[in-house]
Amino acid sequence: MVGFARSPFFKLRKDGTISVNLPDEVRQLLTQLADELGEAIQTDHKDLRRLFPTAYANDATKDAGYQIFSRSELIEGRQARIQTLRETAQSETVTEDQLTAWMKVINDLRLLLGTKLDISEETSLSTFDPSDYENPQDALHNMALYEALGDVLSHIIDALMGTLESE
Amino acid sequence: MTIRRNPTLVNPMQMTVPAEVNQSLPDEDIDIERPWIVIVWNDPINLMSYVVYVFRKLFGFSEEKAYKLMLDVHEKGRAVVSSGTRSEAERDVHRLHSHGLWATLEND
Repeated sequence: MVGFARSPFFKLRKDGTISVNLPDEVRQLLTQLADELGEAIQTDHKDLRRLFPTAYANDATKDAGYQIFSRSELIEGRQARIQTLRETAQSETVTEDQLTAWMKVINDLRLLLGTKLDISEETSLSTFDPSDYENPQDALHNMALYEALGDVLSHIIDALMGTLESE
Repeated sequence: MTIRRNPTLVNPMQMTVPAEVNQSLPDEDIDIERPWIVIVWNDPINLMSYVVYVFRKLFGFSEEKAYKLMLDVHEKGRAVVSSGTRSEAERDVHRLHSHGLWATLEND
């Protein structure tokens, strides 16, 4: 069995809801970043490619057909989840569906930041060098966000794993 | 906030098959005879625990199976997570894309 530690920040309650114990600054940051994600996904920026992956790796024609319906649905779903995060960011208690929306928004943010930073398997905080980037200050800022969001995401996953175990 | 990190994943129709196939059918129609598989690819961003959670949530896999598939993605670069008709595979790929996983479909 694979064990997952219980999070002090997101606690699954007996009634199936999850209590949220996050500092206000983190809640505000999540709301701000979610707003920025909502604006970003309305564009065709190349850094969004991990949010809209290829489905047919070896067939451009089939993939074009897939993208026609998929992209708009993916954007619509993402906007709905961003709205959920906005509406519940200050809540002390959220439902499983609401926390799932938080999780997916945060993961999308990491995909976007990780793409901007060109994260690879060798990338780590100890080897990260902002001077390797065209704009070191932006890179440092993005790396700090990427790592912090990873921490929040880990805690959310821990809580949501508990919902699976009770199914 | 306590720094406690999960490791990331390093690197990342419903149709009736005809009894006889007309040789002149275009490739698109011939493709439906063969099952399609859904592949999840290794990527350097998604957390391992996130991938396990998504596999369990979307496909109802046991913890052990989800973990094994995640390790296959991690260590072998890819794992087949579902199969079926083209439309079924497309649906699964779309659900995985909705969760930010890098998934493709192809004929088996």
